[in-house]
Amino acid sequence: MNGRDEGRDALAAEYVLGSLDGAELAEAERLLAADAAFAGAVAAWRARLADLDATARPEPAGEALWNRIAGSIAPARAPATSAPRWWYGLWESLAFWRGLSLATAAAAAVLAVMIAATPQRTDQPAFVAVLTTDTGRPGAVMHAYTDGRVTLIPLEIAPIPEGRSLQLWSISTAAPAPVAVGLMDQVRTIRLDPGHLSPAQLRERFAVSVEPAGGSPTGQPTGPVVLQGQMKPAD
Amino acid sequence: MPQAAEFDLEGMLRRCADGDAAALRALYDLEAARMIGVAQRIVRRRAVAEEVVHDAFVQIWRRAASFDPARGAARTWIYAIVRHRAISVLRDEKKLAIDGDEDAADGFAEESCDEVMTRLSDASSLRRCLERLETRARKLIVLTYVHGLSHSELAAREGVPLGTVKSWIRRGALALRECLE
Repeated sequence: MNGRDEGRDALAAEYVLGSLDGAELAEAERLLAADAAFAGAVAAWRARLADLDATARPEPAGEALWNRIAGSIAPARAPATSAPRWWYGLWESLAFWRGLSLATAAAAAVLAVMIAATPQRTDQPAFVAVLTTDTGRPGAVMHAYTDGRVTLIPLEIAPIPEGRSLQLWSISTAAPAPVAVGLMDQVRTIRLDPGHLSPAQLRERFAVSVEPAGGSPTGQPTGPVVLQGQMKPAD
Repeated sequence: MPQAAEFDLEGMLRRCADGDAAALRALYDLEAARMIGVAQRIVRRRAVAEEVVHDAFVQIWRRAASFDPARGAARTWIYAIVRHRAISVLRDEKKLAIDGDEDAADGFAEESCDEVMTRLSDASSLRRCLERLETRARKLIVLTYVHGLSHSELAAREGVPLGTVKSWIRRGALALRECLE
């Protein structure tokens, strides 16, 4: 490097360190936009010093901050029609599942899920699903009875964050997109709309996502999926 | 698994560029806690750090399409946005003479250079190269990066002229670059 390049590289280092102010900062910002070599020097310094970012202590990042971010990006949010595309991508994405870091807590309550107005009790469920968490642990057991009753028994389920609801979705080849079938505002009760579910859908896949209070505004899952599983015939 | 995590981050940025808000949420779940930590070291106050991270996520969302993996790692790109925003807030506050009220600092304690150094991975070549620097150059570089201190603040703290601080940092940066190459 010649002297001018050395000076430029030192300026790039100082810019990345964050020590510039006043006229020097303005000059660095002008070069960053206009000079590819300088931009490259800045990128190289960012890479050299990046390990220092990992020395910061993580601080709790709550739902309130996320809700504000979601509100700020909302006008640019993809319309609901695009939801199935990303939904299936999401389904396949290990990163997404791994990214779900809601603290789990054992919940003792049994969620009674009523989808029929006439609860003719039959004691043996016709279908059973074990809904698993992102780490593959059993999070809840779903039972579907021949009279249309469905129960969801939580084993290990994330507490519902303040201002959010858990929404249950049917994922079925019988429908082109996930169908909302129930909402939990508290970890106790959930109401399903039986009109949405065909017997075929009852036998397929279910998922639970975290949504704004009152359910997804788009009619499609918008938040992280915390549980999912496949219905199977009971023995 | 840093490589796997880096791959995941790139995928999240690609999906953000496609307008997939769930990818931004996944990024939030993965990185927001550390991002708040990075911002708080610079702006001190928790509420301001959250503002910085809010703004950073909005920028990540809007600028995700401009991320180019050929020009650097996704994680580096994301943290550059957080640090840039935090340092801008800090400089603006100083310009407006807003009092960086100690009471409002949420008991935030500035870290020493040694504390930061011990948290660098043993495998980090940055750590190895920083350890080779003169003590005062190492201290200036580390404290500038993690706390966003300006040349003039460093000069006042160290009780040396501004030009001396600048030349220490420049010499240290040059030695660091050579060691890392």
